[in-house]
Amino acid sequence: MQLEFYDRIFDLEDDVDLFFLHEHVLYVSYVKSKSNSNAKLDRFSRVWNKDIKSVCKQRVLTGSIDFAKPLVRSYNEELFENVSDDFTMCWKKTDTEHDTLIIHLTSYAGHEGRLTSPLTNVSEKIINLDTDLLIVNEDPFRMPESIYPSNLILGCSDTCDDITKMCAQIKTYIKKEYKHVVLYADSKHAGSVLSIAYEMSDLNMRVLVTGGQTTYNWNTSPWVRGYLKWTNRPEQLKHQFYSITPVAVMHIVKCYKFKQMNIDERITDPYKFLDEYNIPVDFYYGKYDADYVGFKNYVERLKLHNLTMHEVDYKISDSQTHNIRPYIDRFVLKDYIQNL
Amino acid sequence: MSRTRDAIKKIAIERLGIELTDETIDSGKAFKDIGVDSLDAIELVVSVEDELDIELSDERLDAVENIKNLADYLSEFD
Repeated sequence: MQLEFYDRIFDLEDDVDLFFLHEHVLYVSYVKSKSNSNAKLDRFSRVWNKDIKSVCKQRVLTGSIDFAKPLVRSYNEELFENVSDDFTMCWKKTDTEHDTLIIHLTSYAGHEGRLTSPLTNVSEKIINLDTDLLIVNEDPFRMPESIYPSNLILGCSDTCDDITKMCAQIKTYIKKEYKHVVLYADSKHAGSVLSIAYEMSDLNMRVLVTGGQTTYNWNTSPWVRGYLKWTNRPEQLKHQFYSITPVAVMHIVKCYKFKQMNIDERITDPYKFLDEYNIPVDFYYGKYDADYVGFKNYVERLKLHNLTMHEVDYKISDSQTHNIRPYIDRFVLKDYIQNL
Repeated sequence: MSRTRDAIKKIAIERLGIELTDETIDSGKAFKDIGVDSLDAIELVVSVEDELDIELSDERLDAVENIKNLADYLSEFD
């Protein structure tokens, strides 16, 4: 299949095309970060732009992304232990007996081309909770995303390359029976968190998720449907421009790859199956998160008994309306854990 | 009365849920010792910039280690 992004045609069957599509997406981010350098931006955007420019420069100078391995694979040894061989999982150090485990599927370290934060770069508010904590992070060196279309659908690393293997690895860390196991995930893992919960449904599982990509299915993804509608527009509308974010481009490519790979619908479109399991899901979404509203509406339309939707009146800034994690970490998580 | 201090206090309580007094600010305690993690600190700055319609220098902000440093820097805009 051939699709048009950024006024170019890319063949989704051709890995070389996919490689250069990913390069182009990174390049678009780089150009944007440069063009914004004189604009009035908030500090988050300024830090983001600085990081993107720095990573691109180092990558060009060294010819690979390996320069980032010492940073991304580092972890705070005072706080964490039992790091997996592939640097995708680690366990909070604690001497206290807890009856609740949080499995935190992060998307902090090394994602979206930034490669500027360590494996254990998670909020202290989560670390300080009265729970055990296991961090699971996708290996950001399994690149490009367009060829290794994970979002945890294909596991988290080359050794745990599907959900079954990844969950088996997670279970090796769980040495006792917890009263509650909470899977906490966001954004790109908003769908896969459920597939993972299903795979470990023998535990006392519940899910806390903040809004994002709730389906990676070619037929149901709102981003795919919107894009295909534009692609198939009538001749008289061919001049129309389609504004699309780099994340959405990668999402569309990944959905196509998952379809090509015949990945089970229970994994690519997991919300459909939620009521077959005894897994309560609390879904928090941002009131101002316009890009992802289609994904939120999609799961709402399924009218699931096990799903509770919560709207959050919060945005980090006018240019950062998607990420509501800071609000959840500050004002929701502690009470959520205490009230289990 | 300081416009910038008032802004810090207002944003800290509204966005971070943290009540800051002049004593806390002047104590020079590190951000983490007053319950402000690194992400909170950036958000505090973002919101202060927005509230006061100012843009702070990244170089100066990189040197800010505690709430007093931030308050002192902001006092230049009073």
